[in-house]
Amino acid sequence: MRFLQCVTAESALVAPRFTRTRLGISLLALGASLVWLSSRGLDPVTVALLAGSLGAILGAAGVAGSDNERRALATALSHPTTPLAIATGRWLALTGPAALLVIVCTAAVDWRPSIVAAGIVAAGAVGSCALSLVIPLGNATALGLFLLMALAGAVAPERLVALAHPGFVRLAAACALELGPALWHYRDVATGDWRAIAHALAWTGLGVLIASAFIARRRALN
Amino acid sequence: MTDYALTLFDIAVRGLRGVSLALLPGEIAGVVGPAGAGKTTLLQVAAGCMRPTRGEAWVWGCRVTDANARKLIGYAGDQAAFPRSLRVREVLLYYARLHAAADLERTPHGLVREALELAGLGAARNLLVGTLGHADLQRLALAQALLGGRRVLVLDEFFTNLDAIARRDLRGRIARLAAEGVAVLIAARDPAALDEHTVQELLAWLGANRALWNGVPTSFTVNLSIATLEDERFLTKVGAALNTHGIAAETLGFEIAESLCGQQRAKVERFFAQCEKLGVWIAIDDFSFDSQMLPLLRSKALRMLKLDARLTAAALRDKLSQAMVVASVQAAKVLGIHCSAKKADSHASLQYLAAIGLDYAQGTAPTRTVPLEAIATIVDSRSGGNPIPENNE
Repeated sequence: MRFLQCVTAESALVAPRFTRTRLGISLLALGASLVWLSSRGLDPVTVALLAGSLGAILGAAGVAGSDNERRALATALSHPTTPLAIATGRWLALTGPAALLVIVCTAAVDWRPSIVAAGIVAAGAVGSCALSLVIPLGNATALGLFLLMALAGAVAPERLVALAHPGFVRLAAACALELGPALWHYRDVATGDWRAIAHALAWTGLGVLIASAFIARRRALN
Repeated sequence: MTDYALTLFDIAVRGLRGVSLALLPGEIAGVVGPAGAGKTTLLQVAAGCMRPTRGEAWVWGCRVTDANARKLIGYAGDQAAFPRSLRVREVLLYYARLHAAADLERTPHGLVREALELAGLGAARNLLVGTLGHADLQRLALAQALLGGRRVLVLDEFFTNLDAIARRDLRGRIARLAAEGVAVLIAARDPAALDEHTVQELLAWLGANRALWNGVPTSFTVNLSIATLEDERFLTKVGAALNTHGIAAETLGFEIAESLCGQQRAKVERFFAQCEKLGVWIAIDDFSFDSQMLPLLRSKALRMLKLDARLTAAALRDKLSQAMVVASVQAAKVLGIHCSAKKADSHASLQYLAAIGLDYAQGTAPTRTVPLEAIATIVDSRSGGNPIPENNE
């Protein structure tokens, strides 16, 4: 119960940021761009997956990635809460707006519950991964992840691996694409593929745990 | 252990070795040192932000690293960071929700109201954190640190870079919290700021509690650092504070260690002259009959010599030490200055000191810091409370 209250306290921080930071306008611009791209032939599932994953990355940058936010974690830890509660709350805070963006974009493009579910699952997994990166490394990594997801996230690994040099690099690229959060994985969530769902859930849990470990390390950094 | 609000025992971490301290409820204690001395490290250990490699830290009988300690101890630093896009009340509401989650009897909004009032942030409650000035940011840091009625405050470089008005206001608020039983541990890079804080609080207390000490011959001393001796405006501020509170100058004395007097000789002489002019008196601490000190003994501001404890202890077995103690006592008598010995605990040393005509003595120095309100007792025991009986048979 206490854990959930701490999580709620964290997630409540996101609402004021919509209008006072670039988070709100960035999400709006992303949504408008995806709807426009769908009118140019981008399929609805990709729109939902990109809305969820890119929205979550923007959310991670907005609620946890700035230097100030990262330094403020030490202050938060001097209160009765835990790193896991903070990480879980921030994950909820960044996934919520991304999920909303998925719903809005899907409604504008092609409303199907399975597509919405795929987008939200992608938002959870990619958001969790983004959180675990921005807390130790800052917003520069959010930009990197954003570009990776936007440009290569939806492409099947076979096509990307074929571009890489043979040997170790190729193997490493294949492993990264197989293990990392990638949109081509979560496309199958729309068809009910349990392996895709399990992959997303694993990344969601792992990302939050890694983020909480990095938050705990920030306790004495101020 | 639960009698103490905060206890650090034999703490070792990074460059620190074997640091111990204990704070009673209502005490304000300072940790002073240059940058890199380990003040912040020590305070982070005290606040439970860092685990020591050796030793233990407790707050009200609870290990500071325990989750429950977060409800009892608050930490605020000079570099405290808060989400810049939130309003002051939203930031406090966030922290208050964490406290309310731990204590279901209190509502977050009630906790925020209380913290805003205690930190003097009521007028700034709707301002964005990003627009706050340094003083209001420090108030916010104080507000979050005392949120939820926490009983120990750890303040790191809290008064650094504050203007005089904000410093005085925050000092007053911290003193009021201490008066309500909150123990406060403050770190400062500038020891002069803490000296000034101590003198101002002492004079404010004396002014407010005149009935407790007026009518009996009493004086109060404050130990000064070398930084304060170098501060040309210090005595001007003290004079103004004495006038403000209507306290006679001779009520206040300053203790200066002999080793400090040798460091900045010209400034020390100027300080002695200013004290003489103002009417406050001086005691030289750890006096060891250093020849460089002798000219200072002429100062009319000098009222007491406190002999170096090592010297008086050695005097019982070493003739040279004995000669220096006797010479110090005789010089003081001729010049009309009181002389006191420290750590005069044994019957033998008391007999010896009485035999050579010493005026005063004190026992072993208190091993813990003492609340500001108890300073009269300490000064009494240091300077006049334990006169040596003339006949010690």
